[in-house]
Amino acid sequence: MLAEVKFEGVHKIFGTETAVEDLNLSVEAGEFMVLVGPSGCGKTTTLRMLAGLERPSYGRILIGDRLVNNVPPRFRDVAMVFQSYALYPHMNVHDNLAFGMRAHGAASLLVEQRVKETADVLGLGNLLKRRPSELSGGQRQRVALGRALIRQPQVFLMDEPLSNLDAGLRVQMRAELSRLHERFRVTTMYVTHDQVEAMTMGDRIAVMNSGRLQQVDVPETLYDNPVNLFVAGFIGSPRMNFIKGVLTTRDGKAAVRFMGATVPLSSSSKLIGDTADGDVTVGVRPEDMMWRKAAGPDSSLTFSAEVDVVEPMGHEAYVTVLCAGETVTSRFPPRSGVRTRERVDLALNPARLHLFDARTGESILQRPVAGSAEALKSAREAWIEESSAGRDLRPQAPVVPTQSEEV
Amino acid sequence: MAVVAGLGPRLDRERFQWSSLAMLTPALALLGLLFVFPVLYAGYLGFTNLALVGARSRDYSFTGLDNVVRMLGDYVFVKSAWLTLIFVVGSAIVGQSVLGMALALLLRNAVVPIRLIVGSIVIVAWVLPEITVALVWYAFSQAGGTLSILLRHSDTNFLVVVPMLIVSLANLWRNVAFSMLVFSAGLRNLPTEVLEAAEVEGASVWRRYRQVILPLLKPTILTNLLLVTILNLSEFTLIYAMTQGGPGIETMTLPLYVYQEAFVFHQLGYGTAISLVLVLIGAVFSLLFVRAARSQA
Repeated sequence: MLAEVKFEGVHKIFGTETAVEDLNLSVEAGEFMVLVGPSGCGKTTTLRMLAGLERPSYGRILIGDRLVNNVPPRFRDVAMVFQSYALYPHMNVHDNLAFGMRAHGAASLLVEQRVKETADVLGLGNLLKRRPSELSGGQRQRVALGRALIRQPQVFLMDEPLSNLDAGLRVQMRAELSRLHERFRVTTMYVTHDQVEAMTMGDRIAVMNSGRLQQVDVPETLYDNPVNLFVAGFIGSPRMNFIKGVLTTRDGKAAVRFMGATVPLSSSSKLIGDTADGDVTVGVRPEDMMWRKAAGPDSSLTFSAEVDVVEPMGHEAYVTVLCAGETVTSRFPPRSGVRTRERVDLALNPARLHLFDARTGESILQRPVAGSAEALKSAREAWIEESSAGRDLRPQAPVVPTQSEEV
Repeated sequence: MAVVAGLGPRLDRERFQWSSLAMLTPALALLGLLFVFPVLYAGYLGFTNLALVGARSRDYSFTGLDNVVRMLGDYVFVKSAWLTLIFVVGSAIVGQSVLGMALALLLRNAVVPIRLIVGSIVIVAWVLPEITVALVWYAFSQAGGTLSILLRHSDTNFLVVVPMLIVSLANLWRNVAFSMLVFSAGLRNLPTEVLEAAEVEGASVWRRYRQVILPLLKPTILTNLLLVTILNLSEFTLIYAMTQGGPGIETMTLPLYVYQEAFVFHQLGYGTAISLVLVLIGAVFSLLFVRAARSQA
């Protein structure tokens, strides 16, 4: 039942607007792929092309080994969960669940059995006689999921399924979706604009912007090694600080100067290609720019800054500071007691710096990472083999070795 | 109303101001004078022997159920009521609604130029004055007219052979735009994602239509039926201009019979009584549709 999905050079053009440009993306069998990006980036269009609701302007879309460009949705063996849930308002929960199977001509005995199973899995057993209008948002969401689950399709498509739920329910359903995926392991393509959903749910994440695929990788790598300014800024909350800097090379040693300090780059991290000296954008995540008093020994650089805004979150606080003409957000421990206008010392771990070409926005620093996509892939394959051999034990999320501390 | 002790009167109660009554008076007076009174007066006249001219035009009297009894024995009235039913059910309820729905569905999936052209043609037929439509169809169905040539019966006057059918078709041709517009609007307002869900779920075109689109359109369909029935029950101009109710009384629907009794034979009282029957038929249909709409909700 596991099918892989492939986009090969796919374009989608609406009138003069290019919604998706030259998309090349493979979703492995059983993988949970999250498509993330700001609104209008082409992620929903991509999903709709896979569903068959839009036809690609150029390129090939494959489900399994089958070219599906011109296959109508109902012959694709995919199930979709819509943002609005799209339940049939005139049918009760039972008939909503049964609709797809009946449409495929399943025997009524089988339909009844599956409806019951699905309702049990999702806790809908006592709601079968209700109409969608008599259900809460979370219950409707569950019916929409059940409608997709019941048909046991080759591919699940989900278009921002959690965005209409309130915050608490969203967290709960996020976990539930992850559990369902662990259980059924159906190839899933999940569209969201919420990077938290992407990070927490995706086996891999595909980041899109302006119709173009920016980067595809496992969440940790995406976070630690964004390929450009867009991905760096989009993944992570609060977002990465971007600071103007200058790259210099003296006696064959590269160093970057920013916020009044000069930081030498260590030998283990490579500058990509023939990066020339000049303007760069330095990226620092808020958690790598710490309060001196709370920082460890790795944070060897110290900056003096003035506190501008303090945003307490309870378990931590985001503190926006002014430092050498830059506005930087830093992650503080809770109850630090710092106040606006106060001067504080910030500590920075030079090993955690990101460097981007100031002109193109591309990352120019190759940081050594052990938790590569290959490592995770082999971990997943090992698991799939195990589980198909009849074992029911699954290791916790693939272990990602901590990354090197040197820049 | 729940009253919580100690909090005084509720502050969010509906307020009524006597002064608003004064503001409403002119509107109420106009409504009463121009609408309520004539309706009630017509109700009364239907039970009199009022005539348009002559002694009875001034000196008429209440005659109880005389008009009703006369109606039941009136062959022309029974035939006329039957024709009206055929006209409304055939031309309006079935013809206009089914064709209007078909057009709306087809145009929804059509490419833009086709949609514009066909839509415009259909609507032009609706915008044309009724007299014009009547003349067009009159000429169309005459011996030697387009229809007879098309059917290779050039010496047949179809308005004489099948008058009710021709009249119904003319009415259908003219009024289908109305249903088409109502259904098009209804289709446009259907939730796109629900239809797409049905498509992805594997439902065939027919199943999507029958199990998703049609049930979702039910309120629109009932509204359309209600309006179309009421509009067509009182259709006069088109039929009168084409046939004057003839040949014989073959197309004498109730509105035409009312006109004939009241203004040709000067029997205002009897004519009014017949028009009350027309109102009654309309009320029955309306009640059915409203009842159906309510069971939906």
